[in-house]
Amino acid sequence: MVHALRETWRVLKPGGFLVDLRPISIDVPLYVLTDDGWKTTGMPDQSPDRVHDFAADQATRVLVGDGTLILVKRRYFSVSHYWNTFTALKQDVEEYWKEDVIISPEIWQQACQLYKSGRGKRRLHFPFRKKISLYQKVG
Amino acid sequence: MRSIRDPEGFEVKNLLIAAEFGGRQVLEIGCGNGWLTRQYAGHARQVIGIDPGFQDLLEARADQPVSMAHVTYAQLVGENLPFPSGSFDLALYSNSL
Repeated sequence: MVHALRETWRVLKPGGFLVDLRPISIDVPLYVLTDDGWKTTGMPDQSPDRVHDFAADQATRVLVGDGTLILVKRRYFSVSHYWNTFTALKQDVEEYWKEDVIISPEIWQQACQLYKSGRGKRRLHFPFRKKISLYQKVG
Repeated sequence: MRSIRDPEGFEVKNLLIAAEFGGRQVLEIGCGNGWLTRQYAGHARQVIGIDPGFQDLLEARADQPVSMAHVTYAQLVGENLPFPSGSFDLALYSNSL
């Protein structure tokens, strides 16, 4: 990561900007949305992915530490993912997030029950937390 | 992905608040299938999106609007960039660092 950041630094113009936009592994609830409102099923465990957060934070700290980048600003926000079916959620978790997010059997069961018993249009909602950091090239 | 991702557009809104893209030459590292690229590229002068994933880049090119001729994609990794020093105003790590 540090090597990639240094290579990025090289191709930036003097005073150019580097934006680091990425998800952060903070546990957030999985929701079931129905015509009656929303209900939470519990918190999926995102801790397996925290090692990546830490490594990326460390890498940017190296370049800030040696004075080649300065942190200009940072923001946090949420990005929502919605699924219209329970099966689609399960397939996405299996295909894309198997290594990063652990959804316990209790949460799956709760989500399935709430989804099946919900009225009207039903959706599953997972609001990932994200971080965006703006750095400026020094030199 | 089978999900409906960010229908509120919060990701691009926050990106455009965080950084100024107007008139800038942008290198996006980890552009994937261009989902985010297409949303901000209209603000930039030139965008080069890179990603190691061949299939993702095929999707990015296929979904590229005709109006975005200033956007190009290349199969590259961030560790070894074939661009001269000082080529870009802005580099974006798009969920890829």
